[in-house]
Amino acid sequence: MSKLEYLQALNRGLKGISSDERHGIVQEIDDHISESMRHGVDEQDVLRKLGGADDLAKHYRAVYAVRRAEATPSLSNLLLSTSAVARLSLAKFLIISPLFLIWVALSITLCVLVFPLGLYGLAVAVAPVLPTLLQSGIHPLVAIPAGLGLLSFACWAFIAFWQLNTRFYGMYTSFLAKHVRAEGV
Amino acid sequence: MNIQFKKGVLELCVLAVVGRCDCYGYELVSEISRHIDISEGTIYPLLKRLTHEGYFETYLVESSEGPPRKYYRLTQTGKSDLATKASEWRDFAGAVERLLEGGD
Repeated sequence: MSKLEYLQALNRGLKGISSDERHGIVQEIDDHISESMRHGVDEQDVLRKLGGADDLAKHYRAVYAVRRAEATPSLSNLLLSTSAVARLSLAKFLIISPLFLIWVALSITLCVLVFPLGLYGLAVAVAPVLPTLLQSGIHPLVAIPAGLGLLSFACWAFIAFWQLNTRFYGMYTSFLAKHVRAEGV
Repeated sequence: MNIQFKKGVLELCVLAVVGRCDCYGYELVSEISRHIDISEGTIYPLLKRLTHEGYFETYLVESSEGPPRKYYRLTQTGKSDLATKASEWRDFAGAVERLLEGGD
């Protein structure tokens, strides 16, 4: 492998990182190789000491993915950082994947249970007011308080879950960051 | 050397070397690999992370031998982190040493 091939392989491996950042990374490694060669080290020896380009890219990807997940919370950033850290080692994957699933389960509960519950409560409460649109078959004296009760319970559950979710997200990303550090990155 | 040992102390070593004087990538990596046998590439992503976390700042210096060199400098945050980690390391290494010697 030549220096150029090494740098191209590194660049390919850095997909997902912004082109500016990628350029900076490749430049720095390029400088390292050139500088070593100026000091009389053989090209092949320099590349061997650097370790595989794929391996190097994997380390960079983990650093960037975790940083992005911390800065911009989202499901896709969390998924990307999980996979980037998991690729550092199988052991990491086994530790972090159950935690990721917990987070997914929390999010699904929020959407599948809490939202419909709130909507149902709302429908029950307004049914007596809009008899042409909705018919719940429940007496208005029962339907309105019960529907409003259900709706406020759903709102409360939404806030509680949301906070739990946010807190878990923070814990999870700092956990990922810790595992990246433990890999010596 | 045991790879887990190396992974655990690489960050401290990088902070310590930059803490002594500002240096560019190649200098830093050569200095570390002079003492510890490592895959040299892994230092660079580590430098990137520590820079993101505010331990280092970088600046360019023109070089007569090639393109401008990217120098790393320890920030105030980096300095205090280095001090904490170095003292933790000394305590830990001392404790291990005492256990190895079997004294108290």
